[in-house]
Amino acid sequence: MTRTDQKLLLVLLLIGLLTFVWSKFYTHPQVSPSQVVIKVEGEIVKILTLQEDAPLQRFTIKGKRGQAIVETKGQKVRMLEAPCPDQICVKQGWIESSRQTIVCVPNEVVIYIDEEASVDATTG
Amino acid sequence: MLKTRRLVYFSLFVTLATALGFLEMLLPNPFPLPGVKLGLANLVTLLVLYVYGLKEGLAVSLLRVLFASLLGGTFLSVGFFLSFSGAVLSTLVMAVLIKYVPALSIIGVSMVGAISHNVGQLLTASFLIQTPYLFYYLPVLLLAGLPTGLATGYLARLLLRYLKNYQ
Repeated sequence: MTRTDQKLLLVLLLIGLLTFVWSKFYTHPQVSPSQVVIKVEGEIVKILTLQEDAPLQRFTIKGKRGQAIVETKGQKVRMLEAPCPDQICVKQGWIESSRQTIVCVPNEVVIYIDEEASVDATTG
Repeated sequence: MLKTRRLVYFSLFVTLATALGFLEMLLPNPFPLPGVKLGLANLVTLLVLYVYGLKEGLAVSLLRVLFASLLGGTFLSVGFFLSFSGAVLSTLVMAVLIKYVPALSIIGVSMVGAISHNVGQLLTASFLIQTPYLFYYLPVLLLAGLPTGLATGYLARLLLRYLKNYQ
């Protein structure tokens, strides 16, 4: 490793850590109720409004590859089952902060928590 | 180098890259983070860039993505375009660094290559999978690219010594 390599590593590490800290602030915990958006192949197929004390719910989503099961509990949401080979989306587990996103690339399903929830909730 | 010999070597590199890329697709992801992997296929691209040059490096990585997707049945899927863009961007970036920043060793080049691979994928992903908050994931991919880039960089340096001796 040359001097330049070391400097580069340090700079990249700093940028990484700084942006990481910034991203933690950027995804702030959501106020109740929150809004979960589910998209398949770029189209919104479902919008859920979740209350803090909402019971466990399951939804079947028809993705490009097959059926996926999305589970919500309170304001948390996760991909319970997916027909993809890598199961990355399932392993990711629960998300609960606004702007957090679960992406299942093979099945083309995207789940994210929207920040506009409170506005939509008051307008009905 | 003789033309035939060059062709045989080039084919071997393509095969190696494809096999490594496919192997990594089959293995369960050792990291609990989506999109993070060691990048063994990128190791081959890096070596080819050093031994041959940009044209060959680009050809190896493009053929590797094509063959691995045909093997895995993901040709022209979203995943295919993600690998494609990551491979192209990282190959170009690494080639530019090798040519214009001689102060960087193969390890530094590998690090930037790994990161640009992740960035390329994320750019394409945010374009193809229309979701607003994907870039929040960039720091994770950036930080993850450092150790994996370092690891493949050290491996590449080791292998490059043998390759150079052989030629």
